[in-house]
Amino acid sequence: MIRRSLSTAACALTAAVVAALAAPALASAHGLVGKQDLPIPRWLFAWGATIVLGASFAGLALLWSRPRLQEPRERRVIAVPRVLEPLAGLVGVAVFVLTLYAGLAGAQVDTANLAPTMIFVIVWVGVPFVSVLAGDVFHAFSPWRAIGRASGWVARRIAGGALPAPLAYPERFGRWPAVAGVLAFVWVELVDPNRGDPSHIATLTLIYAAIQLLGMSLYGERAWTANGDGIGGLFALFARLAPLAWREGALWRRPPLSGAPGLPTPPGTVALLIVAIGSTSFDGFSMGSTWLGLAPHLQRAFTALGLSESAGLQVATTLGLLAMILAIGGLYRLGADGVRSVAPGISGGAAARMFAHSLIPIAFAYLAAHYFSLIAYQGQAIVYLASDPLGRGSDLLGTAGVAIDYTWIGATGIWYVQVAALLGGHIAGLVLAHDRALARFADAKVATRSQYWMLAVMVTYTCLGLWLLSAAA
Amino acid sequence: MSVPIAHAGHWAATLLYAAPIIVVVLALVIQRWRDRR
Repeated sequence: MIRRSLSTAACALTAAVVAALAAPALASAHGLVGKQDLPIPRWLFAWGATIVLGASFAGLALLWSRPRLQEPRERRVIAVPRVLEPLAGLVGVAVFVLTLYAGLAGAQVDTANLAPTMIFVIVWVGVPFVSVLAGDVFHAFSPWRAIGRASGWVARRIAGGALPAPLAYPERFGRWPAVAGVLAFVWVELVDPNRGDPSHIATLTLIYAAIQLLGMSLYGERAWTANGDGIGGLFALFARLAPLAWREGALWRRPPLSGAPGLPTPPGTVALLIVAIGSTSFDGFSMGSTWLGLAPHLQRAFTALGLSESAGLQVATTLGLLAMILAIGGLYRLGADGVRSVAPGISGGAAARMFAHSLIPIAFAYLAAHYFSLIAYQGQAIVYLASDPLGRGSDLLGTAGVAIDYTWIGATGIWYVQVAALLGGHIAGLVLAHDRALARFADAKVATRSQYWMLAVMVTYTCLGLWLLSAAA
Repeated sequence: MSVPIAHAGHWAATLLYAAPIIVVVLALVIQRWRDRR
């Protein structure tokens, strides 16, 4: 009964996504797309992407008949000096303190102050790109982790020996604290009316860091960082796609994507990835005509209940964000349920966890596609903000006069990057899911059949992503 | 809210993004129906 209800809910969500796709796009209706010079209509890219995904699926079924990514194949490249990690931590703490100081003491103008660009562009968008290429570098630079480790070291020195062991991290918590952290971050990014206020952002960042320090002091640095740090945890997931890994005091190389199948899946792992995909989707959706038409109605409904206009809009936007996350999660659950068509003994939740790692490249693809223009343009602002972090007219490095170059890539180039990111991410997702299915099911044909509905989910995610980008263009 | 008729062309254009999904889902449903027979 529950399974049937879940399937029905998932079908309803699919229908909702398809219906949302069918709604008119304000941006395309009002000519903001003239900047792009494309040889074919943008909707045709969705058709092309579907054909490429279908062909990739068929290619995998025919040519990829045994699991190749399940066992890690890593080669040690070079030893990493032990001093490098504390040094990286020191750099992370210095940047963190500078960002907080700029946010609290600098000019309260979002484009002139270092804090908003550092947090929303360089860290939130830039670090995932670096992680996918160079591995989990944030782990070393994480300021709260560095402060936590340094505090532990100092405390051990003062105590003259070992400190009491931290509490055992409750298994049932899983990654849910990280999910809550990411949800809070994206709420600030997408809903909070004060998100452009540097002092507000700096204060919230300080609160986030304090929560991380509290978690580390209770459960230990390793257990908390792996489960409770939403930002660091998400970057660590992206780093699993990288051809490089940093561990055991060495740098290792490995085939791209091969770090993903080893993903541990404690409770909340799927939710963390779904929140990442859903929040990025809502960011795009909130710029399209469907939401811009719907939001005022929802806002009026809430103001009629006694809320102020601002609070009404916040509640409406929060509900929109949560609905999008649920829709993305429902679609994934539909794909996972499809696995049960060949293995009825597996529960839907177990199937969802089994293929959770295939969501990593999709989450990165959504982030890369939706925020590429942000990092490509606003990311350059870090050059002049480094010289004038407070926005008070200083020129510490002689780069305060550098302007953002909007000409190095045009709207057409950005569109192609976005399409390539979405397509590449979903093909990578198909590869990871196919490889896991081969490992799980002895018969290659059964493994392929188990992925039919996952293919439908990948096609839906891709078309949804392209539509969102198109509507927001 | 946008006026649906005034934006009929855009409705049709954006519906085209959903069409591949419908085609794939229909193909899977037909395949499932055949399997059951």
